[in-house]
Amino acid sequence: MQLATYLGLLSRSEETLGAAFDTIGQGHSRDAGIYFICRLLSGQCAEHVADLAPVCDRYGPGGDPERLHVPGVPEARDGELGLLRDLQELHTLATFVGSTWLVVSQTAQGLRDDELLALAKRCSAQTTGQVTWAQSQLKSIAPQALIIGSAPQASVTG
Amino acid sequence: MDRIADIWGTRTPHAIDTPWPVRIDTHLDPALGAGDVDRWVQAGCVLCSNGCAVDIAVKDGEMVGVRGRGVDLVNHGRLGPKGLYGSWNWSRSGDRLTRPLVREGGQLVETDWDTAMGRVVENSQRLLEEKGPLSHGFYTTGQLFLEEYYALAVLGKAGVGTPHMDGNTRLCTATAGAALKETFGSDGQPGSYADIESAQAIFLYGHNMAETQTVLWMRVLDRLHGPDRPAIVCMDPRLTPVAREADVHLAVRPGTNQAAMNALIREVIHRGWVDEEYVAAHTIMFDELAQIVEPYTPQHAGEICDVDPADLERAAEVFGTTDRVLSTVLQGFYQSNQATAASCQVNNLHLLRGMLGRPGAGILQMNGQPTAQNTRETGADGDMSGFRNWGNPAHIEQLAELWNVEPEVIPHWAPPTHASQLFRYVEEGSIEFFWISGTNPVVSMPDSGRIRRALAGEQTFVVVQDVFLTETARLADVVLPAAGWGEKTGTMTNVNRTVHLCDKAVEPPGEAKPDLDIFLDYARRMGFTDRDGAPLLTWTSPEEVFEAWKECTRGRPCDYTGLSYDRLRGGSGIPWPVNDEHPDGTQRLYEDGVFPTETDYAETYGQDLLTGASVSEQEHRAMNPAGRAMLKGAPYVPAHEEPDDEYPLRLTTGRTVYHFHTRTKTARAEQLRKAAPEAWVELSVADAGDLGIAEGDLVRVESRRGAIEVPARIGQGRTGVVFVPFHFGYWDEDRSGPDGRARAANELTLTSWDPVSRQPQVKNASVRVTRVSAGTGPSPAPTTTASAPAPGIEVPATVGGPEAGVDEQVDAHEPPTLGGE
Repeated sequence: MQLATYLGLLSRSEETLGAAFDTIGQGHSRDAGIYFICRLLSGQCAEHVADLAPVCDRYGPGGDPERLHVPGVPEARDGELGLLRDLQELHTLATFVGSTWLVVSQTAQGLRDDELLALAKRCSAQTTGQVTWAQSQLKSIAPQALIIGSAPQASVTG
Repeated sequence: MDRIADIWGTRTPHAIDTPWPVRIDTHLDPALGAGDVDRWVQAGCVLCSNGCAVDIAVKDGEMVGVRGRGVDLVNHGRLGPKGLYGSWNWSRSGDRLTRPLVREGGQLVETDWDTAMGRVVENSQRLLEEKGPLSHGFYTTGQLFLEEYYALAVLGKAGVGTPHMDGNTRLCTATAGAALKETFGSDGQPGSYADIESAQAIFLYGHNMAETQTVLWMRVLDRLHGPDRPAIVCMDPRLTPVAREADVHLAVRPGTNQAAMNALIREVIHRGWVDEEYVAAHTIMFDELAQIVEPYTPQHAGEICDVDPADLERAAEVFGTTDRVLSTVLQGFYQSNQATAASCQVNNLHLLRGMLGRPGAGILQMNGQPTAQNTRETGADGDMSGFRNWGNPAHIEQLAELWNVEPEVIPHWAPPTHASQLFRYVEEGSIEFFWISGTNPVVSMPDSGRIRRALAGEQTFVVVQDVFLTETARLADVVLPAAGWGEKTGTMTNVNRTVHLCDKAVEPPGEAKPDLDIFLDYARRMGFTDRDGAPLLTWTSPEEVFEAWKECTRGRPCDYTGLSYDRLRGGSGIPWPVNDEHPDGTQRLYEDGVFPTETDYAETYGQDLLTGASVSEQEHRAMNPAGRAMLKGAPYVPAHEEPDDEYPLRLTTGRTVYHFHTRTKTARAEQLRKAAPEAWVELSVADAGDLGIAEGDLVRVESRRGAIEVPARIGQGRTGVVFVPFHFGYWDEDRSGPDGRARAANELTLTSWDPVSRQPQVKNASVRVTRVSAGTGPSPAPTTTASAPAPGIEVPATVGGPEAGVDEQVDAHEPPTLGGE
């Protein structure tokens, strides 16, 4: 059974997403709305990782093929355009975490693992909230960043 | 009577379900008698959000005093100290702005209107051409008239076409609007002030009503002194005059309101006090709410909030076992952590108990300013006019039809840009044309230093329109002199939806103009046109704007169609909706338990209470609220800045009864200025003892943003909490900033806001306090209010003296009733 592998993937993806919220939040700390919500959402990711730990223990160690993992965000980008691109990064990562929860949740149904199913329901609802938040921010700032924002700097292309 | 010393005046106690007696308060220039007054002119008071009806005394073309209107439903003749002393003195002040100013070689110099408006229009047109409407931002107030806001909203949305519009109402009232929208689907106050007469218990959440709405507190006091006293439950970290009257005082740690509210809701559910029939018929999301609040036992919440769990249980018991409860909410919730979430829980408690839409069972989500309601209704705060939904294309189409423009002109791709974001865009130079009307953000916005730098920078052309040369005006590129209250005509709507007409009493000084005229002049000079090429704004008088506004409200919750200037003259103010169905106005909303949540009608599809993320139309439809209210919940999360070793104390900021906002009017009234002449900081007895600070010592209060040095009042607040009044800035010392002598509370506060209402959280910051030097006497804090000294500290009592004489005529006539029933 490969569920253990996917639980590992999920746990590490939540860590990657949490770290991305931290990096991007701190990188845009003068945008207080971004900074504080990123801090809050990073905390959600940490809780998900903690809640997953006993489940991972229960299913034992799985394979950990590197090619399954998503890359994180090493540093925040500068400026309005950089913020826009960083929010897309969060949107992508959170969407990936969400679909990983979906995979795990479907498998939990197949296994009749009610505990994991309940955890997946609770956590994936928060992940959906994270995706929606990133989307709301993108919608709000996109016109300003692209119509008025200054020219992209070298670091934006990363 | 000296109403500086005796803030609430003579008591007129009465029994439950009997009318509140009339008491007509009058204060005139002490040199004049009643016989000297040439004429009285009808208006509404604008020195707090209560919206009292007042007659302005005029002699020789000047305002010389005020008298409460006994025929009015709002105040039954009473006025508060700010209204009595502060309404009119400022108008004769020698430092009024009487001519436009423009910046020349770094200095503001006088000029004529053509030159000043020429610069405004030149910059505006250039930027519209080069960068488009997103280069423009407008920041207004909660103190102009409805007509002025509506004109601004139309010129901003349909003329310029920018989403960057807000008011300082974001600081005072945004959460009231947001909480009403999230729960009930639309803004609109459910309750009425008249509920005070019938309530068996009154809950005041973060609401120091005794100081912020003195006349409303008189109304409560008259019940408290009557034969069947309602129970009072107060949630406030300070020992306010309200807390002194409370049967249960929940002095929660600042920033933990949501935990306390979740505990109250959990108790109501667990102890079987839910009106299940009402909840089933009129609400959705009960199961989700019950699940969210489940962990918040009184013990758990008591630990988070640092209050006795038994007090939480008692408060819940009062709520759960009383048939008629009135709840009021203000800045202790709105400017604090999880503002909208906590305010929604107040709504939830009422829904769970089925206590809405009947006498005594109501909600008052308060406002902080006299005309804040109009800023929200008209959309001068960025919302869509007439409580329309920016996310609903049909609503945008309605506005486009009304204004005869293409719908695409009206920005509606996202929620409007809120104040903090406006200043962020100004700071970045993303907004290059920024027009501030009737507000003083340099003193009122959090992190003053950052706001000063943003406005003083070269990157943005700043227009300030005001009555005085405020700290903000000193940083402008163009200053436009505005007429003030009493010098122009317009309408205003208060917290309980009551519309008052304010007639012009006197001429404005010099070349000062009504704000409406200034906005219309800008629109004309800019040549804004509708889709047929005709001028967009053709109005020439406030009454014409009011008539147009009526059409904008037709069929919406805030329906004004049954009102007219004529109807508003002579009698009482009238609460909306006023239409064919409710020709005499409407005392309470939601008597039938049907709420404006239907997807096609609602003002919003809603937001996530934790992150503020927008709910989509499809998601809203899927919930199928269909006229039922939404029991939205949220877990408690800690405040954005918590005390630590470096900054171990919690700062909270707020008002004192004697001043309004940045004191531009109140400090120009001798009685009020003397009652609270200078800034101070309040420390608890224990904290002052630990820090070696005595009453009146000069102390330094420092945060990560800045520092102030002010005298200390050893007060009666809770340990670990420091209070600084937010009124004091620098204009009266001819400067725009600290200049080495900082005293504005917002030098200390943090740029952060509630994710849903986007209201700045000026009540949550961490500070450290150190003693600088011994004082020369007691601190200047008033003794009559929440800033009263701790027992044993001798300080001369705050009094007004002979200059503060007020005539009170008790039982002058029968109390007024809605529609004269």
